[in-house]
Amino acid sequence: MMLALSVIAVLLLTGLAWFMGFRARPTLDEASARSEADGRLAGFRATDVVLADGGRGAVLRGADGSLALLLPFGDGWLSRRLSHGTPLVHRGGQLLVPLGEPMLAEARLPLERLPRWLQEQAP
Amino acid sequence: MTLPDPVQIAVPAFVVLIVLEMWLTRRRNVGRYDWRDAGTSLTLGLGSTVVGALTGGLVLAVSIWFWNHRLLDVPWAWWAFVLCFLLDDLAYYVFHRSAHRVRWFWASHVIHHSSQHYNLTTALRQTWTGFISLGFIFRLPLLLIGFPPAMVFFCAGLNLVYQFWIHTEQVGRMPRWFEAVMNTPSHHRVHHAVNPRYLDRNYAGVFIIWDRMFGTFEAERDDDRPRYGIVKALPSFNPLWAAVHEWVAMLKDVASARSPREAWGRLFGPPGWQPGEGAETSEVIRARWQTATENREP
Repeated sequence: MMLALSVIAVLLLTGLAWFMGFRARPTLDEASARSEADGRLAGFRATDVVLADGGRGAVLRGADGSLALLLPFGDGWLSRRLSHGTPLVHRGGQLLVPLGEPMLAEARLPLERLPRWLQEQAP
Repeated sequence: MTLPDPVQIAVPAFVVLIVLEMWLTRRRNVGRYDWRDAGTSLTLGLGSTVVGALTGGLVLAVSIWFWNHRLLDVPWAWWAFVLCFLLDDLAYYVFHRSAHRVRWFWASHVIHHSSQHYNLTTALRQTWTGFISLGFIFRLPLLLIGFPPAMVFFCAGLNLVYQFWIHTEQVGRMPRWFEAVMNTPSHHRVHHAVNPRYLDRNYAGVFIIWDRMFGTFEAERDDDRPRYGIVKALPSFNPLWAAVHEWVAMLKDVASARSPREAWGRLFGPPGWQPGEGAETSEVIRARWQTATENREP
């Protein structure tokens, strides 16, 4: 009985959050992408930013030449610093980045055009 | 003596406060909610209750065994309850610090930190694997001293109930005297933040005095807004993955260890430890941040 009530409460509260509009899909601009990456990745300072199409993600280059990704996740972002030499592929209007994580084997960012600094790393 | 379970009594209040917080979040535009994240947190809370019910009997049996070997007979007196509550909170501090500094315990505790949100549903995002990591051993000294198991569990329940309300962004700062002695939303926001300055700080349960005494206190700063979660945020809302991901990663690391020393470090070293270069412990992250900050200053 208690378990059934608890399950109902979980469903009702989750549904209430949805009903109250807590289902945002935000977009990034350059400033917010820099702020998010600098704030989440200790020691990272973005010098170049390219936004994914529609602002739904970003690739950033740090002052030390390293790359970082911002990927959409719920109403926020996942940040990942790429290890040196991560093979990036640009195909079919998407940037494909192998991450090799159990729940995130590959990141796909919609990106029609790459800036020159990213073209050098994503043939 | 039979005592009620404070958590069970508080559950209806938890629900009401969550609804109130959602409303305030909408109305004041302070704090964040996401329905998927809230659903994951609540499901993890429910799962934790189920696992707790399944393993509670064994924990109780171990507790009674220890109490049967007690040093003193602590009476059922009001001062014993006060002392028990205080010592239980100290035991919680030790447990919590270990849960952040020893990967074996972190594998269980990380669940509570795996949301990038900080709201009352985060408070309910509790472990499913605490029994495996043996987190309950930190309370056993109280039973050895002689506090009755019912008293210890009652105080532990009160401690848990207290910690619910501090998981919110709706409360800014409490009066100074309160912030000085008690754990507050402000202090606990620091604890849930991944900002290098805040990593592995403010382990307190109820009384922040333990952090002040043992050098782990950090005040929340207006110029360094907390960013919540874990250093490598989970890319999934799947509750099962949230519950076991660090155990999976840890066992993989141990399986690929090249020496017993490395295996030991992977199990009982600090989270992020690895041999040689490339460790991502909180000390390494803080040092990297400090170097970058110093280089930026003119």
